[in-house]
Amino acid sequence: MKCIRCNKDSNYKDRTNGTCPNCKGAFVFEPKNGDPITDMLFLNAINGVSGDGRIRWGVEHLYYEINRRWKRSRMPMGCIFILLVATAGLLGAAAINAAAVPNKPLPTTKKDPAATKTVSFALGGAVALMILTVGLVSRIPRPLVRMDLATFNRLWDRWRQVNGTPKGLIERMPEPEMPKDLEADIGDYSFDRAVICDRARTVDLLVANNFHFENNCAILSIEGYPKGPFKVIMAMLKRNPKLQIFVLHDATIPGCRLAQRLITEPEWFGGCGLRVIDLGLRPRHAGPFHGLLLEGPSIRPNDEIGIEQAEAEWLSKYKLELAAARPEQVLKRLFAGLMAHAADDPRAADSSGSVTTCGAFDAGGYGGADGDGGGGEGGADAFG
Amino acid sequence: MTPRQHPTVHAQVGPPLGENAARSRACGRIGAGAQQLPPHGTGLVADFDGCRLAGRQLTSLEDWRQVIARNQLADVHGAFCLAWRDSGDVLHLARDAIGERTLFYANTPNGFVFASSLRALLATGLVPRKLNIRAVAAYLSYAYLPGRETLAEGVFEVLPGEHVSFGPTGLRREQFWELPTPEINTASEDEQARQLRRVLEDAVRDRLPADQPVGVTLSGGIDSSLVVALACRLHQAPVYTYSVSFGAGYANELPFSSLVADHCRTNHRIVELSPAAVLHYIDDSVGSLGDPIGDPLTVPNSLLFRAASEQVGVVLNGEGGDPCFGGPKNLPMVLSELYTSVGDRSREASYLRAHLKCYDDFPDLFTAIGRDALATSPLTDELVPLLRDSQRPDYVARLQAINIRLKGGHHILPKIDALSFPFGVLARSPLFARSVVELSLAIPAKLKLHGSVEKYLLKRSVDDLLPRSVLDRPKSGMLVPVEGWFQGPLLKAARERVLDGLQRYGLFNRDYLERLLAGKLGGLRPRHGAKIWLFVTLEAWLRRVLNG
Repeated sequence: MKCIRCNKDSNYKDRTNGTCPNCKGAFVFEPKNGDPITDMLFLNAINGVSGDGRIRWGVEHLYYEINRRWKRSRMPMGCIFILLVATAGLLGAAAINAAAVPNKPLPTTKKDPAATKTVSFALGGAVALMILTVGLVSRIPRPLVRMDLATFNRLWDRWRQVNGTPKGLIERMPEPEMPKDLEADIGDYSFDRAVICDRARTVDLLVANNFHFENNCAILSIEGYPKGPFKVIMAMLKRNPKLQIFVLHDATIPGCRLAQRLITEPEWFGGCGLRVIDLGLRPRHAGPFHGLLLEGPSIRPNDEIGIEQAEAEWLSKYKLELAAARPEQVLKRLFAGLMAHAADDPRAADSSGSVTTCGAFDAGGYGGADGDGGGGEGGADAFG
Repeated sequence: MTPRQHPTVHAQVGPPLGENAARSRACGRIGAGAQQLPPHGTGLVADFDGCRLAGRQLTSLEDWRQVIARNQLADVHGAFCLAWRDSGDVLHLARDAIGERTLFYANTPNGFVFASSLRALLATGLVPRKLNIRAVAAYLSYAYLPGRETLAEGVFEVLPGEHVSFGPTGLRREQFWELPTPEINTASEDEQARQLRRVLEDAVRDRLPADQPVGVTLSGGIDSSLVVALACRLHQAPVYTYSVSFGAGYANELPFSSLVADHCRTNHRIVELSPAAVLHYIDDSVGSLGDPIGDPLTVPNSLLFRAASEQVGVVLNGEGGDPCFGGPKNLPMVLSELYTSVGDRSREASYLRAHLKCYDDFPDLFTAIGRDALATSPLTDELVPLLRDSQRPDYVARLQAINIRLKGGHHILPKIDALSFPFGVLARSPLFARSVVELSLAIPAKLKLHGSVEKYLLKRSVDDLLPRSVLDRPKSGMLVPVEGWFQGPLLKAARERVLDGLQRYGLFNRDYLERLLAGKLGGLRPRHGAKIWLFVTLEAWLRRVLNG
C-alpha cells in the first residue's frame, strides 16, 4: 500500500502501528484490518473533486467520488473475461477427453487412469474458475450506490482527524443573514439571468466557485436560500422583463417539476410570461452514473406535471443527485448551458410561461461550449 | 441595409512604430532624455492639449504662467502636465484632473528628476533600474498600475489632479482637484437625457479640429458609435473612422462598426492585423507605455493611430463610457455584495477579482519573493478607503468613482496618450471630458444601471443618432483573439519570451508559467490567453523600458 506523503509502497508487516516505514507518516486506513479503501484512493478522490485544488467542493461530492472510485477498483472486468475464457477452455478440454474415453481399445472394465485424471482435473479447474468468476461478477456494481453514507462519514471523520480538512472544502455555515451595511441602492438593479436550484448546497457550490460573479447571474434555491438576501434578490430579478431563468436540480420527482413550479407559482415567475430552461438532471442523464444512484420513492408520480411518462417509472425506482457529478463538470456544463441560450429571447409566447430543456448536461454535449476557448479540460466522459 | 465595402488596410510588418511618423505634435513630452528645466524665472515646461479656462483656450506658456500665478489649476479643463520652478526654488509638478497626460518623478541622491514617460526618466541614468516587486503583483491583478507606485522602485507617478512640490522642506503632495460628490440630479429622466446630450455635444465639439478632418476609432459599441455620430453631426470637415480586424478565422465586430460607418456616412477604413504583425509591433507598442498595460488592445490601438496619422491629426475615441455611465463589472460587484455571507469574500478582493486577471493565481504564481512582498502589504489595503467612501452613499456611484480614478487615470487615458504620441496624432476622449465626468457623477445610479441594462441614460441620450441594433446589441467588449493567438501562431514566441525572459527575475514559479502556456491552469474559466498576454507585455516592458 502506498503512502500518500512519500509515495513509498510497503507491505502490511512493515507498517508498524499503522505508519509508513519510510516517512513514519500515519496511515488512516488499513484494508488488511477491514477498511474498504486505501489512503491513496481517498486522496485521489479529493484531488478529483477539487480539480487538483482549483475548485471548491462539498463533502457530498466526495461521497460520490469515493463511490465512483471504489466501484472501479472493485470491478475487474478484464479478469472476469480472462476467467470466463479459461473456464470455457477447461470445460472444452474435459469434454474432448471425456468423449475420447469409451473409444479406447482397452478392456471396458478398466478405465484409462490418465484420461480420467485429465477429465477430472479439467472439470475441477472449471468449477474453481466458475466459483471465482461468480465471486467477481457479484462485485460488478449495481445501479445503486454501494457505500452507504454512514460508512463514508466514519471514513471522512477518520481522514480529517489525521490529515485535517482538505483545501477547497465548502464549510456549510448557518443560514446566511442579509449582509450588513449594504448600501441603499443595491436593490435598485437587476441581473441578466438567474439559476434556481432545488438544494441550498448547489447554491453554495456555485457561489463558492464565483459562478454568480463571473456570469452576472443570481443563484437561489427553491426553498428560499440564501434566506437573508433572498427577498431583495427576487425583487431585483422581477425588475428584468427579459430575465433568463435556468433550473439545476437532482433527478427526483420534485427536481424534475422545479421548472414547472417557477412558471406557475406567483411568488416565483408565475404570470411573468418567461421561459425557463431546464438544464437537468433528468432520468435521461443517468447513463454515466451507474452505481451512483439512490433508491427512489417506489411510488409513481400520480400526475405528469413536469414529468414525462417515460421518466415516471425511472423516478419511482431511482434518484440521482446532482452531487454525483464532479463540481468542475457541473460548473462547466452550467456555463455551457448559459452560453447556448445567451442570444435566445427569454420571453414565452404568452403569460403562462414555458419550459425548455437544454442539452448541456447530456453526455458528450459539452464540446466547444467553454467561452474561454483554452480550457481543454472536461471532455465527453464528463462525469467520470 | 447592405453594408458598403470599406477599404481594408493590412498592417504590414515594417519599420518601428513612430519612425517616419507622418506628423509630430505641437507640444512635446516633458523631460525627453535628461532635459533640464529652463533657468529660474522662465522655468515652466508643459505638455497640453485642448485646455480651457472659463471657456477660453489656453494656447501658450504665458497662458499657463497666468494660471499658475492665479492658482487656477483646479479650474482648467483639458489634458495637461506641467513642471515649473518658483521664485523660492521649489519645483512643482501638476497633472490634469482626469489623467489625460502622465508625469513621473523620483527623488534620488543625485537630485529630483521628472519626465512625461518612465522611459525618459530612466534614460537620465539618475534612477536605479530596480524592479518594484509589489507593483508587479498589482500589475498582474489589474493589468495596469492603479496608483502612485510604478514598476520601477523609487519612481512615482503624479496622480490625476495632483500637485507635487519639492523644495528645501522636502516633498509635498496635494490634490488640487478631486472627483466631486455632487447632489444627485432629481430632474426627470427625459430632462436628464437632454442635459447629458448637451454636455456630450459640447465635449465632442470642443475636441474637433477647426476646419480639419477628424478621425474616430470605431469599435461598433455604443460609446465609440455615439462619438462618431456626434462628430458627423457637428463637424463641417470630413470624418474618418477606423476599425480593426484580426483576419479571417477570428471573431470581430466589423458588422457593427461598418453599420455605424454606413449610417453616419464616414470615410471608413478597416485595419487588419495578422498575428505576425501583432508579434512584430508588440515591443514598440509596449515600449512606448509609461508603466506596462497588459491590455491586448495596445498593439491594435497603435496600428490604428498609425493608419489615422496618414489622414488626420486629431483622433477621437469612445473611451470613458464604461466607467462614467455604468458599464461592465458593476453588476458582478453588486452580486458579490449580496452573496458576501455565502461566499465569504471581501469587497476589496471582489474588486480585484473583477479584473479577471491573475489575482486568484497568486499562491501558485509567485515564488516566495513575491509572496513575501505581498504578505506585509496586501493589494486590498489601498482599496478599503475607496470602496467604503461614505461620501458616496450609492454603491454603484462609488464604483464609478473608483473606475474613473483608477482605470481612467492609470490605464485608459495614459494608454491612449502614450500610443498615439509616436505618430504625432492628438488622441482625444470626449466621454472623459471633465464636464461629462462631473455630470455623470450627478446622475442617479439607477439611470446608469437600469435593471440589468447598462449605460441606460447614455443610450437614451443618443437614441435618435444610432441604429436600434447598435443601441440594443448584446454586451460584448472588444474582441481580441488572444486565446486563438496563443494556442497557435504566437505560442512559440510567447514561450520564449515568458519562460526565458522572465526567469531571471526569480519571481514566478516556472511550473505555473508552463501550465499557463500549455493551457492547463484548470478551473472554470482559466482565461489563458489574456494571462499570457499579461506576461508577454510584462517581459517586453522590462526589456524595453526598465532594462532598455
